[in-house]
Amino acid sequence: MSFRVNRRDFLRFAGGGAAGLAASGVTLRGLSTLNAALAAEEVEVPGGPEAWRLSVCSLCPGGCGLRVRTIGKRAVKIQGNPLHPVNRGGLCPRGLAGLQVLYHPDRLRAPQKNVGSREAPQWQEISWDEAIGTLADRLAELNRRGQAHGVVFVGGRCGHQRHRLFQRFLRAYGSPNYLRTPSGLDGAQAAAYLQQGAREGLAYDLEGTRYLLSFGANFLEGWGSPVGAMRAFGQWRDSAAGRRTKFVQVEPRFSLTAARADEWVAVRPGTEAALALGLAYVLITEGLYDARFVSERTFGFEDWRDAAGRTHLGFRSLVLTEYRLNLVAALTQVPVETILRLAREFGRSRPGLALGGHHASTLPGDPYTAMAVHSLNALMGSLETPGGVLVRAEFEAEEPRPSPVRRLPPHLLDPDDTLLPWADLTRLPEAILAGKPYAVEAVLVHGADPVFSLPNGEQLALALQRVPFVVSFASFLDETTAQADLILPDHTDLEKWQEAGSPPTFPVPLQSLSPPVVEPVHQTRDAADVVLALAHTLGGEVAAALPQGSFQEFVRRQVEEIFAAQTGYTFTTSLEETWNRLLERSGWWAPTYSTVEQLWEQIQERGGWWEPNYYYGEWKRVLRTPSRRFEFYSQALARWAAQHVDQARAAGFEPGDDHLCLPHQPPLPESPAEFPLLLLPVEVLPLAGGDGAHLPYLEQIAGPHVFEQWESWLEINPRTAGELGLVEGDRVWVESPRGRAQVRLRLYPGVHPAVVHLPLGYGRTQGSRWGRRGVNPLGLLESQREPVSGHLQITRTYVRVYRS
Amino acid sequence: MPRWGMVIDLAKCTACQACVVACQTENNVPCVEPEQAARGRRISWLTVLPELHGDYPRVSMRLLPLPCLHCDSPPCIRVCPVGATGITPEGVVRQTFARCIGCRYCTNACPYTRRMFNWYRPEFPGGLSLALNPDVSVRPKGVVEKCTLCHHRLMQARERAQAEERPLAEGDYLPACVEICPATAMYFGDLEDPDSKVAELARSPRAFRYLEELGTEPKVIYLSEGEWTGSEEERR
Amino acid sequence: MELAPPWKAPWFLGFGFFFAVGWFLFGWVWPAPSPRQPLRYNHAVHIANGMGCVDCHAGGRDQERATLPGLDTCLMCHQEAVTESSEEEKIRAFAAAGREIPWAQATRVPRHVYFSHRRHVALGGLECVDCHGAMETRTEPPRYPVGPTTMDACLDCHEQRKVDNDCNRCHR
Repeated sequence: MSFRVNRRDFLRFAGGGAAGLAASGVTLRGLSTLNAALAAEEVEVPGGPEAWRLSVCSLCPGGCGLRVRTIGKRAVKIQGNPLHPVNRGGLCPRGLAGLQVLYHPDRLRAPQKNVGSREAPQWQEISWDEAIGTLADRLAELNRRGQAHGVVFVGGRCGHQRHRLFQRFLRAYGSPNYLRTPSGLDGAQAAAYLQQGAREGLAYDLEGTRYLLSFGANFLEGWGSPVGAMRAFGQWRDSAAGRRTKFVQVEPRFSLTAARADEWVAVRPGTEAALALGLAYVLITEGLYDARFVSERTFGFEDWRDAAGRTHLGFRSLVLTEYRLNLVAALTQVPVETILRLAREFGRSRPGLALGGHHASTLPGDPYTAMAVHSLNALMGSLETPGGVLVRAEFEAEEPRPSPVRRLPPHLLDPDDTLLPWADLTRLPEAILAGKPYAVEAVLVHGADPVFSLPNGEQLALALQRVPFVVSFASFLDETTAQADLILPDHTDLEKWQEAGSPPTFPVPLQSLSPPVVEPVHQTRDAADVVLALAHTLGGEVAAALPQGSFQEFVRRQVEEIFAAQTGYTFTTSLEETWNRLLERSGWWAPTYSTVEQLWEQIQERGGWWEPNYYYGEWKRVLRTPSRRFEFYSQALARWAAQHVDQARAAGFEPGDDHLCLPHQPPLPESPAEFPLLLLPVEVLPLAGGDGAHLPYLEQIAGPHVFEQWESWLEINPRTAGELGLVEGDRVWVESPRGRAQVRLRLYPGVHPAVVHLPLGYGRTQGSRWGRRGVNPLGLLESQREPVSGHLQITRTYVRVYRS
Repeated sequence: MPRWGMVIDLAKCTACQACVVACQTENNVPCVEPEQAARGRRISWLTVLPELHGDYPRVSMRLLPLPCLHCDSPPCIRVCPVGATGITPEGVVRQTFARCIGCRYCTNACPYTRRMFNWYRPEFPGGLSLALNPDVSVRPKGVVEKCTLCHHRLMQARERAQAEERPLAEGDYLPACVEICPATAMYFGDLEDPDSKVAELARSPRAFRYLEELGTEPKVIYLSEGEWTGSEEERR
Repeated sequence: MELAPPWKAPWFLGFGFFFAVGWFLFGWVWPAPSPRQPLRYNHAVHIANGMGCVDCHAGGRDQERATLPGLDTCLMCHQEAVTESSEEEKIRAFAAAGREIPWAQATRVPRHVYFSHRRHVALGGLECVDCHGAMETRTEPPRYPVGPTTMDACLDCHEQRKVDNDCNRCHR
């Protein structure tokens, strides 16, 4: 067959060929281009040399040791330091989220000054020289005008040595007004002060206890040192341990802590004190209490006669006459048989511990309730004993006095005049607004967001507007920082020399210390270094008090002091620790270092230094009351009542009424007809301390029990919701006399039928893209001061709930 | 050959969810935006599952940390049309992300809902991508992902052991969730080795497997809560 | 009139033939554009002078990742001029500018693959040349992978050497 190609066919062939060539090119190139466009953009994850570095977490006061994995210059994973005595390698979700703090897209990146007004701030980035210069000029000016004492420094979450540095700076500058943010443990500490005379260092031997009665302490959700508590919980229930410690949670709400306890006792809100005293009733009538301890180490158990011959009510008479079981059961809604059983179990399981006076980690509970609970510890002799209540002996070198010794004016909040000997930050707004005893000229805030986290934060915001100069060291634009004139953004944990002292409730002295893990991500500076630079600029006494060039030099001094004290060990494995204790018992101290330099290096290698032994039986240190005994009848309260007759009368105590000095059930609030439901704020672990809503890792896990995330929710009992005609997921208004807010309703059978709950930590209006969600329950709560202690109470606000 | 398994002691678990976040940071699991999370599209290889019973004041709740259970007889791998998932000789239910076509048969087949689909392109806004782990890939949109038992850690542990010329010891290889647990409620090891801690715990009378009746034969074993057995004096 | 079947049509034959030619040309003969290197590094000269691979590519034997040499590594010898090459001068120019040398990485595995040099070289006993080719002969820096980094190549080698082909070992 012949094959003839005519001209037309050839052109067709050529045309087709050109098209084919074009098509093939288009297909391959085109397809790959198309493919690249459609395919998900791959995220570049650069490699680099791997290293592990130590640090310390400061996202809560818990003070856990961290072990951070770095790849090149990036931190990619946070884990627990296995040698750290607080957490032994474990960590809570908050600590893990530290990476999102470090690399958060909305961090403050450089110093800024407000060139607008307080109401409508306009932020302008400035250089560090200008920032420090501005602050130094201002402080020098105030000093010249003799108003140095009008400077207030609010210190929040940071290590012990930083607190020391800031405080030393302020004193040398001429102001006594160093204020710390309140801790939820202040309630229990108040009881320890009133009944034991211990101003600080309240601690517990959690691991050693056999029975834990928690009266509303959110033990597993942010209480004390959270990982320490969880570790103890794990040890109580270790299958290899043999004995199991019973954990009873007394709380109106079925919290996650209650869910994980061996027993949940649903108590009527606000009646924990009555229940504790009801338990005391059983312990006393059945003779289950430690009679020897009570007679040898306590005061005010029996009725007693004072020097003037007047007879006073004793704890035994108080309990036996006023806390009979039928009365207690009716008040607390806890059945008599439960009270009897709990008391008998508690009385027979020694050593036992009772915890109370805690509402959330920034909101202390009622001091009288804390006293009632603490009295159970004294009844059982659980003081200064393994598994009991301890008082930490602080390792503290003498604070150098400014030279020449300078007389500081009285403290702004005058803690000598109040019942409790520490300055209560919630009183600051009143002092500023009243301008008494003197005007506040400047407020410096570090590591805290009091406008957001104080029950009277709104009042503080108003008060700050009257303060001529407000400076914030925050890492994020938070509610308080939004009120500032100058922002000096601090490094986050992994960018600076990190340190921490003993965390709350930890029984022995400890000092964690680690160098920075990564280079600063932004133009931030360690606030401690900024304050040192400020001291040098101000010169004179301030510079003399703080001659160190950097915070590293400052902590190096502390290490030298530790070395000079000739005690304790650098962190070790549990095995070595046991060996050290054995040696110590036979009188040997065998440290792993012989020079300061070795100690300095070992501390950095291992994460810190501590004194593993608690020396029991130091009664002089532990009991510092006028009677040198544990006081069921608090003489500190008696002294206060004698000096403050009017205030006592306003609180309902006529002169000579012994109830004021004894633990008792405080009167319950009445619910007004139009507001039938009690609103109680609750703390959840991911947002413990009211902080964390700006971190997606924590937002995602905020409310597992109600399947909620990213948003505030209102917990309500399904029956109550039914009566109100509300269903799961409704958008509702919560209205208190102070205002109203819109939230999503979550039906949860663990809620008392007369109560609704809102989680703390939501509802910021400033700062990060993720944090500005939900409702801050503190904005709805009416806070009143407990008339005797002056504590702000947040558990007495009633609300109504209706569909929006 | 080892058979990797996990034991979770529900008595010791505090439901703190550190394991959940540890898993997420270790494995580059992105945080989906709130609006997407509200539609149930959050990715979490390990979640703490609440099971609530009763009415006030007699309420009880079991909180179950639920990773992939690495079943010996996994329903998910049988339905994969492209062989993207399977079970390794060491018992790990694996997922080859690059091979997954995103049909989601496996997410439906898993009775424990432990397989998650990437509905969106993973986002790591700002500097958050700096915290990514180079040992683990970032899964693209349209791919199903799941717990790998931190397989990359096994690879590294094995290499380290080999370099030191010793066999892999117990504790050399721990998934991120097990390593972080503050209450040491999670154990991990070789179920085949009768002397290992996990094998010992798996023989405990408290041991149970979740939804065992489905015949999936999980290798994550739970220890039930147990009870307080009375005070010392009462027992005496 | 009888219609010819379309596959006999000249335009179709032309389309088919040139499509096939184009497929080959575009797909295989002209590969995707490869990165340009910042300077014309000569492997042959360095290796002839007695240098080993991991002297510059640290980690290539006992770490997971091999690395490209940083400026510091080069300056160990090239602080002063060793040759008269203008390429060598560029190193000091980078140093003077305070910049790292922006080497382009030619050989890379996809991001969903876990590849460890330690596993292959230190433990598996492979030589660099097995995957990277004979670098001692190259006078120009490589611009594209010398060896094949395809899954086929991996699987073949694993089969030859009786290493298991469990997906999870490499895919991540």
